[in-house]
Amino acid sequence: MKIRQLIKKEIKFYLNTLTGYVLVSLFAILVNIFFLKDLFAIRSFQISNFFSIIPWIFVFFIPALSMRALSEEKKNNTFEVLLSLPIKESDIVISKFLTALILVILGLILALPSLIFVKIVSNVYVLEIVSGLIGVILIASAFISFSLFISSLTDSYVVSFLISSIALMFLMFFQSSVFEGVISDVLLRPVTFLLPYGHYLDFTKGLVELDSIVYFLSFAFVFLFASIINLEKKQ
Amino acid sequence: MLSFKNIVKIFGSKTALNDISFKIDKAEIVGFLGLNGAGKTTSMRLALGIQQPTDGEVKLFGKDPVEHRAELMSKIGYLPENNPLYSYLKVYEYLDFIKEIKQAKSYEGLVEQIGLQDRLNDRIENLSRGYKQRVGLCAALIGNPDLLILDEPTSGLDPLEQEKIRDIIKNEQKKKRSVIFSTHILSEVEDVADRLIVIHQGKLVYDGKKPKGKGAVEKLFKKLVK
Repeated sequence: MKIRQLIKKEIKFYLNTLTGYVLVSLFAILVNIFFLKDLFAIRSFQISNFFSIIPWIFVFFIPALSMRALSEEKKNNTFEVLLSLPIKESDIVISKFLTALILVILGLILALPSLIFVKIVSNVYVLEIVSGLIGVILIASAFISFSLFISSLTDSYVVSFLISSIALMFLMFFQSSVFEGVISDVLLRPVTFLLPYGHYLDFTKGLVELDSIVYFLSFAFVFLFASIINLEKKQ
Repeated sequence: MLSFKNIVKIFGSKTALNDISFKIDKAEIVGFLGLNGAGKTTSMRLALGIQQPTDGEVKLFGKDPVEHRAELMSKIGYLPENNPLYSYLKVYEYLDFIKEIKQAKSYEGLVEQIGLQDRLNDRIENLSRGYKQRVGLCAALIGNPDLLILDEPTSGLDPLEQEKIRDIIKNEQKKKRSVIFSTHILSEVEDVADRLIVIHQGKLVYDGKKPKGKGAVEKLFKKLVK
């Protein structure tokens, strides 16, 4: 109930200001451009190519969406208002997380017409699209929770955006191939397991692996939990 | 209702509060007086469990407000210093949000009492300072809280707005509600409070009945903080 009210308040920020419209439209435009690029440029379309580009858009889109979440509440002192209400810190964090996820899903919905168009003109399997979308939502959840955690550490949303984007870019950049030959094979497996992109790629190939689902959910849980602990720390 | 027992609060190398003890009972209107930086806001945040004391014990309705904050806040109405609000919301959207979070009944009567009925559809960012203060006060009063904590409720307002806010506070006493309000406007305490707590340089220098007579509060305060 209280989380629902908090989400409603958050959504109103995006409805009553330009921020939400600009961010979601920009995301949908970028997604659609990448979506249709292959189709018109090289007259072939591989759904995995499309899905593999989305996390790179997320590297900027999600920190932009989450940067104000907790930083702004602290900067404007509205966090003090929230703390004077009968709500828990966990309610605040979860509502911020779900709001960002709703906006990501809204952006994906705006990309649906292109997806339907591609389905009509090419022989993409529906299950491949579904597994890709599951992967997108899971990696978005992980990135949102990470960005929220960074947002809980600072009252400057510029700092929050920069740290989140750079850190997520590093996480995306370091794929298992980067470490091959650098570290021993014994270490390569656990290191690879800790990196998100490999897990995500499984979904883009139509594979819904349990260990990848567990990985992303654990990733999201750890950073949401860390954000709650951080907010609960009293001055 | 609220008790501070030997409260010490230290920020880095600065002692904000030094061995403060007091109790506030039902239906009291307590004026919290002190110069800027005396420790008034810190005391209020400690009472709400937003900050934790370095030493000592705060009890709010018999419970530790840090541990039981979310549960206790349903009995509290709070107007923070500088009245932070969600400026992108319309007045009714903000009041609806507070009402639903506090699981309170309608706030229509309150809106009329406070004089906000013509501003409900206005965006908060477009309101004057006085009206913003009314919105903050209305939000604090939603849900019939047992204890109202108001941090500088009339700061920066013109005399007419100050009088309006003072009338609202005085009206709360009739409802057997306790009010703690901080201020550095001495005439305000004289007009509204029935008890006075004075903090100076982090120490409690006065806790007792408001002295009677015009200018008596000012005289006492000047003597205490000299």
